[in-house]
Amino acid sequence: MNDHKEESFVSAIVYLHDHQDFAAPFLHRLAGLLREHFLNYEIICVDDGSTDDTLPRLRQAAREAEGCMVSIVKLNSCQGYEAAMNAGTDLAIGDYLFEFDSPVMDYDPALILQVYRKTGEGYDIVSASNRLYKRASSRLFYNIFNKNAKLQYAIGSESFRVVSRRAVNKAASLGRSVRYRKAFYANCGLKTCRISYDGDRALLRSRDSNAGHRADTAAASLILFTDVAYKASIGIALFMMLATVFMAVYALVVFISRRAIEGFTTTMLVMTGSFFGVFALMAVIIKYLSVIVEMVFEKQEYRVESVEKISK
Amino acid sequence: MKRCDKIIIGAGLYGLYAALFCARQGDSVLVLECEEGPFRRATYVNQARVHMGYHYPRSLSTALKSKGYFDRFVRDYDFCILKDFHQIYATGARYSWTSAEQFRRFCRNAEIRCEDLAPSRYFKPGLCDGAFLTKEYTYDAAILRDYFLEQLGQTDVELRYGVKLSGIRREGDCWELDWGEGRARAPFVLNAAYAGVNQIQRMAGFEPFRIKYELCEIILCDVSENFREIGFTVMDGPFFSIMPFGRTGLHSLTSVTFTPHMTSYDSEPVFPCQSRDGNLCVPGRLGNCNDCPARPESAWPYMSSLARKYLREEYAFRYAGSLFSMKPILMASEVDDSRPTVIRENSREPAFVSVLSGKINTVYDLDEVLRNE
Ligand SMILES: Cc1cc2nc3c(=O)[nH]c(=O)nc-3n(C[C@H](O)[C@H](O)[C@H](O)COP(=O)(O)OP(=O)(O)OC[C@H]3O[C@@H](n4cnc5c(N)ncnc54)[C@H](O)[C@@H]3O)c2cc1C
Repeated sequence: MNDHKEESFVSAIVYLHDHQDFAAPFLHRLAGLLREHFLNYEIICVDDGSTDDTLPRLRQAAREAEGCMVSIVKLNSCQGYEAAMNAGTDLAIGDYLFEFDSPVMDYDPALILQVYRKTGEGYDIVSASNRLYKRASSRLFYNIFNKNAKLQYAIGSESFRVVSRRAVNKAASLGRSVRYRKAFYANCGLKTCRISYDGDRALLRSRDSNAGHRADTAAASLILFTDVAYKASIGIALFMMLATVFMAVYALVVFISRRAIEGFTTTMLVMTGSFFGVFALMAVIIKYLSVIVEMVFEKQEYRVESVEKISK
Repeated sequence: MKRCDKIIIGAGLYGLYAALFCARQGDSVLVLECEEGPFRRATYVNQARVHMGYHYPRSLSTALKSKGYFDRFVRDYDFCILKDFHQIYATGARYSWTSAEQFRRFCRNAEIRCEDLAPSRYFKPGLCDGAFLTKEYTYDAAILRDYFLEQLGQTDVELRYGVKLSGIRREGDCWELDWGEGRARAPFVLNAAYAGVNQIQRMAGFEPFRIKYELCEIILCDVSENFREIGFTVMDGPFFSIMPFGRTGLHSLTSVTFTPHMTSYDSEPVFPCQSRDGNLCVPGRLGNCNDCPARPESAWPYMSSLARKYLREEYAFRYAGSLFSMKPILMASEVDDSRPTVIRENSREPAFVSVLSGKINTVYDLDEVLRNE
């Protein structure tokens, strides 16, 4: 009877933040699909400090999920998508991990299976992305990111992905917690593929929660994975240094041509000199910061309040 | 009607240890056991770890106490203990309550062996932040059982199996116990029924222990050659352990999350499987989970995935079988952390003493209540 079911153990991790209307239906549909097509599976819900009714509804739905092991990881405050997802993947025991970026299912559950089966063709990371999802801000972000990050694969907005244990281990062996997982996966040297679908238009607006943290992640990943920010700030500092040198030269020229008012040249020289010093110092500080940023993000950790296991 | 000095209910380690102890001080002893033989439940179906104290990195006093028990147990029952394997403890990099450094410091303070090993030699990258060679052993219940039977054979202790107790009454300065085909009385009764402890409490009219019950699965595994002489315990949180199971040549696999299948918070265990086992087991008369036709499906897929997530590929293991037993766990209020085994003197003259054990090697706690003045 089981011969048509997938043998691999799969872990499905879903990120939730104030998703009270989506939590239960998502869990039911996901559990239904996994039950039908997989022999062994678990679901891990990570609640990123929701303040609405998400958690109780989730618990209720987990109790109703027949024959399915559901763990609910509750973070002790809102810590953002990346940290929350790490808390989920660290707990997962499967051979393949599904990472659902939100419980808004704007696709047919069968897509989950389609994405999973793609791993059979030798891909370690397969993602699903909604063709209709084209928010200007995220488009801009991905444009800048892909142009500058020089990763093996370009990245884009995704709804969920499946990742092999091999890829997860690889990310771990890079020795730091994944600060921006999509970029990590795109650059870990394993084969990646993306499946696009036309999502449910009615749900298009529902999927962005926690916008503040997302913007923060976007900024951080631009700083971490690209040198856009670094180049820009160093550029500005150098430009300002140059400008002060010009000012100094100008002041000297005025002095030599004896058209200066009493004291102008000395004032200008002191001013340009100290501005030069300030900008030079800034250039050094920016360089210094860029190194520190790397080290700080290495220590980025999540804080878990509780893990609840609900089964049968 | 049989008369004796002491009646002991339950033929697990605690019951048989007590029987031998009493016989050696000259008491006449009767042991009543509901199974058809001794050591059929928790004493056999458990992880078989002779605890040294490594499990208490957050309580130094408990660790120090465990060490004393460990030394004594290993000295007394050396013949059933497997020592020559490397017991490796590791601290999980994530979700662990204890870090590698804290574990190291704890072992130093407790003065128990702890030598640093490279985690990468055994575990996949990034999963454990420390690995340590420790000193801990495993005991073999079958050998221990035969030893007790042999020793008891040299005394006049009477062992009765297949006893279904139906009543416990106080008659003057004695307790009188009834079962289908027999009756016995004694001025001293020891209740050592472990998971059955509360049903005896109820029969005798005493307060139940405040416990919850977990139906537990121990998985037995065949392991690869290079794994034979190694045991792994990853802690301190939702992790696992895979280590030699006595001298059987098999390894036991257990996990904090998946070993317990179901939990009952009732005073006497109530589980849905009791309706499917053909009346072998009811809340008031717990059957043997290991022989039960309604025992749960194995959690092997979960436990093996968990262990494989951590262990390097070369440490291979295969499913060989499952053992099930009921674990009574004292609720927080009764736990004195430095004494995992609780002994209650419900009454004196006639005496009715109950024991709920936490560990195999704390069996010596019985001495003080058994000793005749
Ligand atoms: C899953 C699990 C893992 C464990 N791991 C470890 C470990 O690694 N190390 C460690 O030190 N300890 C461990 N323990 C604890 C250890 O197993 C127990 O502390 C110990 O075995 C208890 O011995 P006992 O004689 O009290 O119980 P048991 O061996 O269970 O003996 C009780 C006896 O009473 C009988 N009985 C029950 N009800 C009645 C009745 N109504 N009438 C007559 N007889 C009755 C039973 O049939 C049984 O034979 C573990 C326990 C479990 C369940």
